[in-house]
Amino acid sequence: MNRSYGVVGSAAIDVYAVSKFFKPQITNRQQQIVIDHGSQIWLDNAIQEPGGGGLLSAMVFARQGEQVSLVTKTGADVFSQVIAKVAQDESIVLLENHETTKHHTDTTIHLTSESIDQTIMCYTGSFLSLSKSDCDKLPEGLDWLHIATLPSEKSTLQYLIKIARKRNIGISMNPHFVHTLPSRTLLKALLQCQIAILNRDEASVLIGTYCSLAQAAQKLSEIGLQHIVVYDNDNGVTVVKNGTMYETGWNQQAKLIDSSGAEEVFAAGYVYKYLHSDDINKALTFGLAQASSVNLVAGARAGILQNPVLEPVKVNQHELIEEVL
Amino acid sequence: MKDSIDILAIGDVVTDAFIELRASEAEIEHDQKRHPLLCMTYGTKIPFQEAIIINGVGNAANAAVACAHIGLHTAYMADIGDDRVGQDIIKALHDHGVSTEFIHSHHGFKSNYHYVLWYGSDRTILIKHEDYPYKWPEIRDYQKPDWIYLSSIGEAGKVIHEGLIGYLEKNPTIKLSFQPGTFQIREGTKKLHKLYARTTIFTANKEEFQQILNSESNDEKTLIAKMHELGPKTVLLTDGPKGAFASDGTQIVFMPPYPDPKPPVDRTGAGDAYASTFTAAITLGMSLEDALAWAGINSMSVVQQIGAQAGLLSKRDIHSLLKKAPQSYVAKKL
Repeated sequence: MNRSYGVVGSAAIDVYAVSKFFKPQITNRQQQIVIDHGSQIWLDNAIQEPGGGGLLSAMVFARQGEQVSLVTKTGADVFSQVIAKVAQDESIVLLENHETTKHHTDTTIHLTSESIDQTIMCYTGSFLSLSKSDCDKLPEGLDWLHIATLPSEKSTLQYLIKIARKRNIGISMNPHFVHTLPSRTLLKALLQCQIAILNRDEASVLIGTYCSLAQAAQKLSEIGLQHIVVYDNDNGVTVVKNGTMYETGWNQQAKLIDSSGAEEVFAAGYVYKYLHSDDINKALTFGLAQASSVNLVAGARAGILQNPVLEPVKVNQHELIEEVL
Repeated sequence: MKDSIDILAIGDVVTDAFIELRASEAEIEHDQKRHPLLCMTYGTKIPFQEAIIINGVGNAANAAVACAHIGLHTAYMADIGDDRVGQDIIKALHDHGVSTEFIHSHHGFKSNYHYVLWYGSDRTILIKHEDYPYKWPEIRDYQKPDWIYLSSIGEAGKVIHEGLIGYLEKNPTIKLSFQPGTFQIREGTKKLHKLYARTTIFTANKEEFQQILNSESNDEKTLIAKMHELGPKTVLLTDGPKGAFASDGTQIVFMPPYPDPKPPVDRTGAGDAYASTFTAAITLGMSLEDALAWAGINSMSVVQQIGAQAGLLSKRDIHSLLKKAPQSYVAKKL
């Protein structure tokens, strides 16, 4: 059965600026990009791709045949038109408002040579001005609300939660930029979500101490989060739900924490599959497959999978052990 | 506005996206020759402060806007894509009073879009030019300009040089002001010898003179003399904050910079403002000394604002600042 999703999050443009000058050099014992300041660098290529947590998450849902409405905020600029066209092509109902912001559309510039590692310059502009009135655009009849990027205003986040509760629909949240709101505010909001997806840094900020994936997931579960997913680049993903912990490592290509959109598509993929299967193993398999796929290409859009047939990932499942921390 | 064109600017047009880097996210080191190096940590996420979009810029576009602000009837010849960026470029130029009848929109192409890494008052520009199928347009008699201002065109724009030379041969009364861009400098003086020979005003900065002339000389008089030998009748050599030198072949005049009222915000377009204002003043029949005085004021004004065009002044504003100029702001014959 198809579902109707409301997605709230940023819509951005990722620019991949390719040049040999963006190869790293060792200076002061660290790797740096060093370029002549005041010069002109002729790029080998400059590719613009759609990105942003909201837009990429919406694409994941839409490509599986779901109905998706995206609430976002872009600038009154060329990039907003590119985003509108992408949303149209992906069958996403775009509920954005660029008339009321003076900020430029969120933009990420990837300075890259040939290797996959890159220096990423990111700008959060227009989405910062997302307000309660923008959230009012969420249509009636939604089955699920996915918050893919955290609004900058506490009142806007609270209003979103209120809308979902009033309409009796479930919420998943993959907050990002955890520092934009106080930890207490975010924790309070996450407690009202059916699924919370965080990277280890974000989880550690919420807990107040840096700890392992298992420790972070268990602690957040003890605090009261219903269904918590925590991940990092080195160890993989840990899920805790109903007193059971699920742990899986990475397959070869999957690395979530970069700016190619892997985190966002993992989270949306996980949520989509979980809602359709009620099976955490399948949700992990689907989310990780999406993340792996987008990591193989420049620009996440080209990597988002459409109803893939997948080999299940290996998941270790066990009851929670007390006093992990 | 009068019908005939005073000056037709030719060169690539772009939209600049200014990316303001936070002071804490990068640092400036210097190489052995004291050139500034922008250093950013590799493989990390660097948040940037602001993104500012400025449509319709580039050496020749900046020159066109400068001339229009001064009051010349200015037209602009360039190639763009048939996209929203291109539409915004045309609108921006219109808003500055520049005629866009010679701007050619190419179906299926993107318009040029540059990213300007802005740190301190300096910037590094990330450039990617589209390879448009350039074509010299038909210019009707009633559109014939008094002057042509040629500046930066990408590698694919050689056909414009050839078209221009042919057009100038057929129209010997038209005067040419030439401020070469990167590719035109790389082309060398042999390939472009007809352009140099036909140039009335040539402008470049000192480093560009050395590169064009393949000379290591630091002596401005020597560099200017060598440039005259290639053909230009009037030569302008700018030397950043040190000032500028102009020569008509009989005399060389030096002009110190107009003092900055505040520390410069962004040096983008300072050279364009200097070169184009100098040309505009000469087209109005002014002397080398007066043209230099105007040029220094417009250049100073440009660096006080973000982007190459926001600070460009009208003739009245230039006059007003000239009246307030310190006594030291005076041209000296060498």
